[in-house]
Amino acid sequence: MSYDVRGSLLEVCTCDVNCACCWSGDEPSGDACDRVVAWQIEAGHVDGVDVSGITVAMLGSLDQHGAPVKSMMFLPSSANDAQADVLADLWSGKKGGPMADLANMLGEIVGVERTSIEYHDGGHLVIGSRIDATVPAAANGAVVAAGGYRADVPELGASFSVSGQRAVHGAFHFAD
Amino acid sequence: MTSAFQQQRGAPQRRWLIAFVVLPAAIAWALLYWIGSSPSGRFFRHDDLANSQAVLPLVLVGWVVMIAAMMLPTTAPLLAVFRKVVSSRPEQHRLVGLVIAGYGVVWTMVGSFAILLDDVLHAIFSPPAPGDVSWLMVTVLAGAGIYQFTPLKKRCLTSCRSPFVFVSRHWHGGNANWEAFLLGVAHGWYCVGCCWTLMMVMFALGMGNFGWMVAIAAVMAVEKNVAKAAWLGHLIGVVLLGSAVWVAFG
Repeated sequence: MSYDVRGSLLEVCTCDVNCACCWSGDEPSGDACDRVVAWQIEAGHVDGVDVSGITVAMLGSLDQHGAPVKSMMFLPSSANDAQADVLADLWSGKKGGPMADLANMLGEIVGVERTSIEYHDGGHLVIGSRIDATVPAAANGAVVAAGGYRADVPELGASFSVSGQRAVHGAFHFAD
Repeated sequence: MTSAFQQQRGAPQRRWLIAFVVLPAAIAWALLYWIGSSPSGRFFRHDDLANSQAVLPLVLVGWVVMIAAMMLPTTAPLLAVFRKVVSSRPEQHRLVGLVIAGYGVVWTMVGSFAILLDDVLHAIFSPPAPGDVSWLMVTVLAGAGIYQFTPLKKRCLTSCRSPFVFVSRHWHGGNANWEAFLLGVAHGWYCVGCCWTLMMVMFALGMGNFGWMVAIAAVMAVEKNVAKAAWLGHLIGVVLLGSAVWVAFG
């Protein structure tokens, strides 16, 4: 088992200051910290399967009352089955290494959905009919105010529409 | 912030926060108070440097203690996220310790530089006579005030505010000890970028001044972690600029 994936990521959340605010002690704007993270893999392979150009997205929900984190995974319908399988395993921590560490932040995966995932650089993330977020362009690591952030994921009790909450652009490189 | 933290995170997390952040910071504050009030504290005190009572390595120790007291609490969100990330590793406590160590190394380097620079400045400029304007103080205050409005300040501040993305950027699957240390170093540099001018103000005011340290630490913690604090940063900038004018012409 080996993998090497690198690319850019986008995080949009319902927090006022810090994304992942329920871990860091700040209050979210609503009942829960609901954040979507989209990892755009620019170049990568997992167990010999090329996964370059694929975007993996995850909506994670953590309520304010100590319940464990739960996440819903989204994979593009354009990916083939072999790609979808290795990516689902990698992002749920089953391949070990740094992604297994990061998976601790993502918690239990309640479902994996194949749908359309569109991400227009420095602009607009659309995941099927589930998630729609508008984010201004910004430097890596800079926190910006999202224009609008709407989600409809009743599996996690996450159905909301907010604006002006936090978003962060970043980069990643995980290998094992 | 603390109460929300405790409600959400349960006992093990609370113990962890106390062990890694609350207790070290509390001990550091107690030491600072001692340095400020005890007779032997003068060896550590920066404001005594001109009286040649201070011992430079001890001033550096005083600086590290000050950083532990003032800066450790502001890193709590990042440490909380990092700890969660490495929570399934047996060496998790060591890794969290290495993040703190990397963070401390950066601040110790910055502190050494600041102390030496201060020493050089004191050697070049004799202290102003009572009643005279301290132009060094005016420069530091005005510079710190202007810095509050710069894009660099904003960039450093917001980078301190996205722990998950920050950890993702620095956690690659190489040597875990080394990556944890470098993560702390990187976070340290961002926080230096946030706070170095306020630290210079501290120098100008004298490092043994307990009241000023509490006030500036509170400002830095609020600036880093409290909702929509952009106006606060600007307010601090205005207050610093106002102080510069007051020291110069008041």
